[in-house]
Amino acid sequence: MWARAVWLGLRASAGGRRGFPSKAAHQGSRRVTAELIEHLERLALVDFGSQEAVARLEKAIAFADRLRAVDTDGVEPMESVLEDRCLYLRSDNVVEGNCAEELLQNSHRVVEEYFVAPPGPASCLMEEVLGTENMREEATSFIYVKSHQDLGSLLHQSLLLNPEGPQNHKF
Amino acid sequence: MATPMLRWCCPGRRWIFAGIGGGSRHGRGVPTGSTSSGKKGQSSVAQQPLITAQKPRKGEREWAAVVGLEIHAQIASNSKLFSGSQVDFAAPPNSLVSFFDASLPGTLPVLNRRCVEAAVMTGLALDCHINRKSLFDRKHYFYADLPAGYQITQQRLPIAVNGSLAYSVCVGKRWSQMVTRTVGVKQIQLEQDSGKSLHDNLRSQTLIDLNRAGVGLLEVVLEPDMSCGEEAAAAVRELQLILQALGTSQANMAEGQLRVDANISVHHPGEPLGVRTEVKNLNSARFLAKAIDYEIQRQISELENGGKILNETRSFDYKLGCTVPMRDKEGKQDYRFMPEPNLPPLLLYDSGSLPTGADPQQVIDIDQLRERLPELPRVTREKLVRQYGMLPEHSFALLNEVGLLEFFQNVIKETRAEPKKVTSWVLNTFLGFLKQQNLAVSESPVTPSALAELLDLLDRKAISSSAAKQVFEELWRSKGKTPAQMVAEKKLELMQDAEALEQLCRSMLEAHPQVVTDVKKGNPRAINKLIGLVRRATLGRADPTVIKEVLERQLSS
Repeated sequence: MWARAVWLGLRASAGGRRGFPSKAAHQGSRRVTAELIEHLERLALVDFGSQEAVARLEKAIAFADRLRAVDTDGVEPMESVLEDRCLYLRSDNVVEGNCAEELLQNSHRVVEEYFVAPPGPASCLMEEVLGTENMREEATSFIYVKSHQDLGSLLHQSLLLNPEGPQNHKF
Repeated sequence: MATPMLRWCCPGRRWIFAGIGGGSRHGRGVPTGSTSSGKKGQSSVAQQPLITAQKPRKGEREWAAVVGLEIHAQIASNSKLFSGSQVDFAAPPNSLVSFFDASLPGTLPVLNRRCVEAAVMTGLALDCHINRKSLFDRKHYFYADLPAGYQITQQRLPIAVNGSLAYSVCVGKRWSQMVTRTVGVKQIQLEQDSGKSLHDNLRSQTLIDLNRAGVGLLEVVLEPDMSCGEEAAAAVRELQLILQALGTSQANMAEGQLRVDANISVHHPGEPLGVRTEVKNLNSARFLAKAIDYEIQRQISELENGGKILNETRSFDYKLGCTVPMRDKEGKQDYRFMPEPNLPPLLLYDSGSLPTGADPQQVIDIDQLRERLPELPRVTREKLVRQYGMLPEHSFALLNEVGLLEFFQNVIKETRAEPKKVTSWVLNTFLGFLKQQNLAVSESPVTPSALAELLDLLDRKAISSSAAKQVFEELWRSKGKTPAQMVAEKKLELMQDAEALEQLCRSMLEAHPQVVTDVKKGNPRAINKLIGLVRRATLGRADPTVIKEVLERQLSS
């Protein structure tokens, strides 16, 4: 699921952002450039680490490329496995909420019933972002995520449905 | 603050740079994405209605500005868009947050019917085409008040497209010279609001309150058909009135229920569109026009000085009165849109396509909603003009103040006075007093009945208009007495005895022969002295116009 998101992200950044082309426009060379790595690192907030990781990523992409062997001419892309289900409409009644205490227990740091945003480069950037109360802009924060394995092998394993795959990862 | 000297022809039409301005300002920066999702193309040549009032000076080239708006309106509903927690402005932090809003694993979005109805009604009011099938997408970006790391929105196929919004602007100096313009509505989409971040400077930390996270928003995207701040402000005002009339949003900018982002660019007419900047943080009706005009001026002066406009996001600094850039770290923001996998397509029906035997709670009938649409402000104004013969700008003024229209209609119901008189009293005297003391209509010490009674007295010519104003002031200050009582107490009734008045006038003429000769010699203004004397003699209870009439008649005989 997560791997698929990255894959779609790659396709989207290469092929434009409006919808998803049913037939992939030519992806360009299989080399993953330093620029693309930087871009992905920022978007997905993971650390690519080493050249080895980049190479593994390229292999993973090549593996996924095999999807293109399928001819999808004239086939409408499926948006969701739920596409022929009915979208349930809920009545406009208040039935949830009032569990601040429970929710705040999940947070590492709490100040008086507010969540405290995690420390690190992100909050430095957010300090500058938040000039006035209620002002919000979209920011890309550089939260360093600790992962057990680097990105390339993670992808590789998910795609190969490795049973020792990335169940322990929390992002 | 040095703004470039700028002369523009008529409100919003063309811009001519007529002086040397200061360079663009660089305030403290902030990393952010520069553009919103790629909704606007930039390749077409602008189709601006080119009307100029002044000819450009020799050597100057004209500029045209292009302004597009993205307006976010908070939907007036009891619960949030995808969860059952309450929507409320002021509540203890994080008390209106469900597990889904906090983005805990295992939670799923469940769509609120009321929000869909609100979107459809707004789409119908803005003459949009309602998409029978619309889809939800995820827009990914990282921010502490967006716990899921993505916002559920409708990027690919929104619920309503291709509408229009008609609004009125003043051209020229007088309020009475109004023209109607339209701006295209590109689309209306449903999306989630984010939480609130509060910055604690003292301890250098950011506090997050998720009460607002997940509240339903209507994003209304207006086409770049506007050309100045005034037009933008007028369009936003009209949209506000429409949303309030429909009941889909309270659209109160001060409470953050209506937020506006503007996309602004300038170019020479006939040439391709210029690079646009996005100005965010336009959350005040007062500063909306100012901010947009400032940005237009800034761009023109920058280009005139040989500089370039960056495709960036800026914010408006209220204190300095200028736009400042937000630090643009990496160029365009990539939101990695993907379909929301947990929500099937949203299907809407009309009376012709309603599935038989379906649960009415689960089915939305567009035709039914269309029938139930309340009266739109535009229609209300037209009715007022037709029914009461008032000028269009009066109808605008009546609708512009909360509760004023109702007050007006209540007075009309109870009085025999002419509608034009009522209009004048309500808009000039009544509204004047309200504004002076900064009161809302609901806080007025004068009730519609009281004003109606007063106007009846005036209509019957029982009192003069100056006396009426006096009584009104009294009514405002003290309660408990009716106009009739006040008139009796202060002896403000007009003199009804015509014979006595004739006598008085004749005696006054006899007492002042000099004035009589003055008037007969051809100085008509000399009569005013006599009128004044007669008025004083009657203790102000005679109508000056009647006095004048009597005196003139007597003089000519």
